[in-house]
Amino acid sequence: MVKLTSSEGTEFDVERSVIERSLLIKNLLDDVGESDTCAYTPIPLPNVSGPILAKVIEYCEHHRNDPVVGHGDADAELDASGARVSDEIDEWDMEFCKVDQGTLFEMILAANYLDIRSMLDLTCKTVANMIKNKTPEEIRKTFNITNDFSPEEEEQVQRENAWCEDR
Amino acid sequence: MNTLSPLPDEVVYAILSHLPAPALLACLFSCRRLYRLAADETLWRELCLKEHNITFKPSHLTWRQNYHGDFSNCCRHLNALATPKHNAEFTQRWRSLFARVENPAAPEISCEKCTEGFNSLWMCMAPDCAFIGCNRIAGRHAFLHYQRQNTSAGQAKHALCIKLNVLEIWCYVCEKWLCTPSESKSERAFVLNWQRQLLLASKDLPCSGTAKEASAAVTVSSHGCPIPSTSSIWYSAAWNERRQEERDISLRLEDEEAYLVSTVWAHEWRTFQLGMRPPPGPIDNSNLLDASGNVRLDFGANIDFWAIPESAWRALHATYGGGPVICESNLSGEEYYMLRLDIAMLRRRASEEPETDYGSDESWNEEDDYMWISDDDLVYFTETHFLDDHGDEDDEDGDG
Repeated sequence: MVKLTSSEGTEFDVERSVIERSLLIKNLLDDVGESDTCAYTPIPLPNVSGPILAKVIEYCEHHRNDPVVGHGDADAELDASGARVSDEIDEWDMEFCKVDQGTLFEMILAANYLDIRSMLDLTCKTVANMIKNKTPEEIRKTFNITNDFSPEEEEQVQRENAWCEDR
Repeated sequence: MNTLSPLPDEVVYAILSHLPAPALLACLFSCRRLYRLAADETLWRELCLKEHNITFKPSHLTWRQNYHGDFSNCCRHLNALATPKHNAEFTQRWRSLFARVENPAAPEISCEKCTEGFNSLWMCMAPDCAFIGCNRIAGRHAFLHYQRQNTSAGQAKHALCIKLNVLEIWCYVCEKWLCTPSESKSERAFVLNWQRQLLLASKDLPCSGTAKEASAAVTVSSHGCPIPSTSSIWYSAAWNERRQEERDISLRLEDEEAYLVSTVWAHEWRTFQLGMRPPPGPIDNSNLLDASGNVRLDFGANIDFWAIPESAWRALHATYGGGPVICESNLSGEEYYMLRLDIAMLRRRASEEPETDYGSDESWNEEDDYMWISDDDLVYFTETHFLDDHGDEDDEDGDG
């Protein structure tokens, strides 16, 4: 077992094999070595709040038997057969991501920080699905973005992409 | 507050990498930060691969522009040319070949299986292959090479070959020239760009003055460039754009009114199409007229004239000019009965035998076209289709 401490100081006990989906923690544990002392020393995660850490552990528990996706190389998005991982999201994952936008973004940041490739992919895909089929104005609304283009810039962007809209 | 602000660029970038092109464009329009991230070339390059199965682009376009190109009928075997390694290897191969062509002391380049000379030669474009073989009027060694390599693995690899005297590319798998205006615009833009780069890559090599002149011209447009007097790759390739546009002209005589073109001029034009000479001068039909300026009575189809459809006449006449115009409606007199019969025969043949018709787009685009013509021995082209053998099995030189 491994002990994790969230930003508020809440402690979580989790099986080592489960939390090793996080490359950050796996590398940390590998560096410390096999000694049992680490089991009693909680790992502080000051960037991750308790509720988010609970989500992360839930994700890792559910996917504990999945093959670990390669990391850091250009082929990371290819599955074993060499085909591109599809943008389809399975049902459990879909339910898992049904949270408010703020939580979802925190989950993204946590997955990014803890280096859990498949969870980062999942959460990013979920945000991508929120963007699909929206106009620029709708995208601004969704993420509360202010249009910070100057009129000249706006015109330039329009001109630059004029040929795209013909199609 | 902008809810995306807490996310670092790399994370927003990861989100954008899951978007299809229209959504990525919408992001581009929404604000400065998303513009900067969504304009990333790597994203658009990925989309080109994922959605079009294309890994090449002309160097003057961005990947974003390339993505929005026209890829219908586009040959995907060109992807092989787009790897920097292969490109460098090919450029090197081409440079040494070019140096040999331009050096009078070097032995002449010939087919690796027979003695056919430069104007008949094709080179296989597979990486590290460089097989040079002759065309289908000669020993068909380029084609036979492709057939030998045509295993499931080798098919794509040896699909492309390049006609040495004009640098034009033929795909054996797609069975077409790769730079035809009526086909994919993106394919054409890439091939033209690639050809120019290849020519420019040889600019520093020692070559004749006319070649230098022509090489300067190809960077502008082939249309107005000077006609060098020597036979060289330069003049041939410099006229590629015109050649490619004219390849789209269908000579097939169907419902349109027939126009006559003297075979003397027509053969000059066909020889130009084969890359063996500069374009001919104005269309000259004067040998079809008698001393008093009337259409002669003693000539025959294909021996003295080609009968081409009005659309083809218009296209050729727009480029070359000349005349006089001789069309079916000029030939209504009783005395032209035999001539009209000739033309009717050609028209009927065109409609009945689409596969062997001399003017069909298919045979026009085919390398087989080369069967009826060679440097000094012009076979009249109707005959070729009687000579045309479709057997492909005379592969007696079965070595690899």
